[in-house]
Amino acid sequence: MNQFIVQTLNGLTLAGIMFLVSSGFTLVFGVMRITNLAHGAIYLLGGYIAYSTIQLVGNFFVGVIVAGLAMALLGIVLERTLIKRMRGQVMAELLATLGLVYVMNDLALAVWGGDPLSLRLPGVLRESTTLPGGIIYPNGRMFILFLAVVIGLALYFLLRRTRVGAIVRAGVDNKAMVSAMGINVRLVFTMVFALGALLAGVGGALGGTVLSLAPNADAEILTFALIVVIVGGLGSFEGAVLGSLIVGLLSNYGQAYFPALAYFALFAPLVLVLLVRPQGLLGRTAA
Amino acid sequence: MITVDDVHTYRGLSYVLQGISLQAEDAQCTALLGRNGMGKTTLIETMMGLLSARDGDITLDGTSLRGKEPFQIAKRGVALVPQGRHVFSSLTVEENLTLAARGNGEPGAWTLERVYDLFPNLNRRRKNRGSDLSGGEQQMLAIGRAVMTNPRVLLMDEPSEGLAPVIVDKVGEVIRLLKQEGLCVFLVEQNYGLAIETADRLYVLAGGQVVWQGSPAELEAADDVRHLHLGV
Repeated sequence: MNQFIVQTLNGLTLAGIMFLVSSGFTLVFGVMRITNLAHGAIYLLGGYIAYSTIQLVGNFFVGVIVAGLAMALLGIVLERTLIKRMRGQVMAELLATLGLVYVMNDLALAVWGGDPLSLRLPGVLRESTTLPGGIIYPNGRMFILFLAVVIGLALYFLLRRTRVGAIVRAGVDNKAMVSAMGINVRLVFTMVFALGALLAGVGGALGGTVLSLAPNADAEILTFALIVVIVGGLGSFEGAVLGSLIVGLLSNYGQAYFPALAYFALFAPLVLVLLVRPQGLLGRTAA
Repeated sequence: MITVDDVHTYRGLSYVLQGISLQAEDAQCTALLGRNGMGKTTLIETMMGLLSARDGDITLDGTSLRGKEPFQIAKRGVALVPQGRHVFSSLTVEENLTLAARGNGEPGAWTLERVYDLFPNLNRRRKNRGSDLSGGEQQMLAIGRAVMTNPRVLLMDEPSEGLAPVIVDKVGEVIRLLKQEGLCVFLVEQNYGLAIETADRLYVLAGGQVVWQGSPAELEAADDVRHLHLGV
């Protein structure tokens, strides 16, 4: 039983990291209709930047913040210079973001090498706490889960309770009409892309404490994010929350209890959702 | 006042607007009639900047809107009530109304309270999402959302489409009120009755060109135009 609780907590931590990555991915898709294949590469680069920042200044939190801001800045630059040139051309957008994956990964390989790195949590977060029932669980993982929940709540507040959030949601509904209301949709696009990259960067920094940062970690997290948004519903924030929980928990149970079938546990919900509810659990059918 | 001067617009490869000129005055309702597929919506979308004209010019109170983005045109005082209403379905009624609300610094400007006074139904449903509304309520919301930007020109694309007669009457009443307030209303309609009752000047569109223009009384008298181009 204790083992099951530990695996559940592990699954929730994984879900938290998946949520950070997939919420940014789904937000960008929902508003801009861009499938950003470089989202995983931004996650990995964010993790690497956090790693180097922590080495340099010796503070974990500074590392996380710098990673987030650096990736937001990268997002602005990419959106303004590259993405906006091919707006509406789905194939060009896909290929351009795929090309970015190679460029970013090779740069990362040149700077950080090919050996797996992981981020070191500060002091008390490296210790463990004994939970009721005698379960010993690392503080760091609880902290990651806590941060993911806090960021999720902040995002929810931003999207549901502010005018900027209303503009973003209206943009998901009908971009042309938002523009006809006198709102500069292009500026909204840039902001949303930057926010997506920020979330991926923070995800990389936090993910780097649990998962390792290495070449190909980007493809792995992108696969997770894709499964999450397909299960939850493309473009839906609530879908990203639900999808992350389902995929995070199932993936972790799979690895713990049926390692031979771990990928089956990961893809089975995907196939099931596509068969029964192709728009995703909380997704809307295309208008 | 908004002026359309020899505008040519393509939709993809098809040549839809083939040199349209017309003018909509302040404190009046100018209506554009015509059968389906004659380019009425294309003209509205060109005026709003959602489609770009291949040639010709559109001016708002003497200033050219050529090459302007829709949001820039909207900020200069043009608002759109689109065909199919297109309220933001995941936003609440109140969010739809306040999303792009802009005051014009004048007394009597449109505010949330004034919109709720005009459309009490929207007040009752202000926490509901756009997708939960009936067709008539959505039309009220689309009109309320547009006037909340306090425009000088209001473009309305088939506001009577799919609505019960009592709601169509309400739309007509609102148009008359907006005219009284000095707004320039440009109405695209298939509902002949609504257009003839609210408009001060009418244009008939066929084959991407203006084929007739005149006053409501003149159109009532022009049997041939009505039969040929409007089927009424």
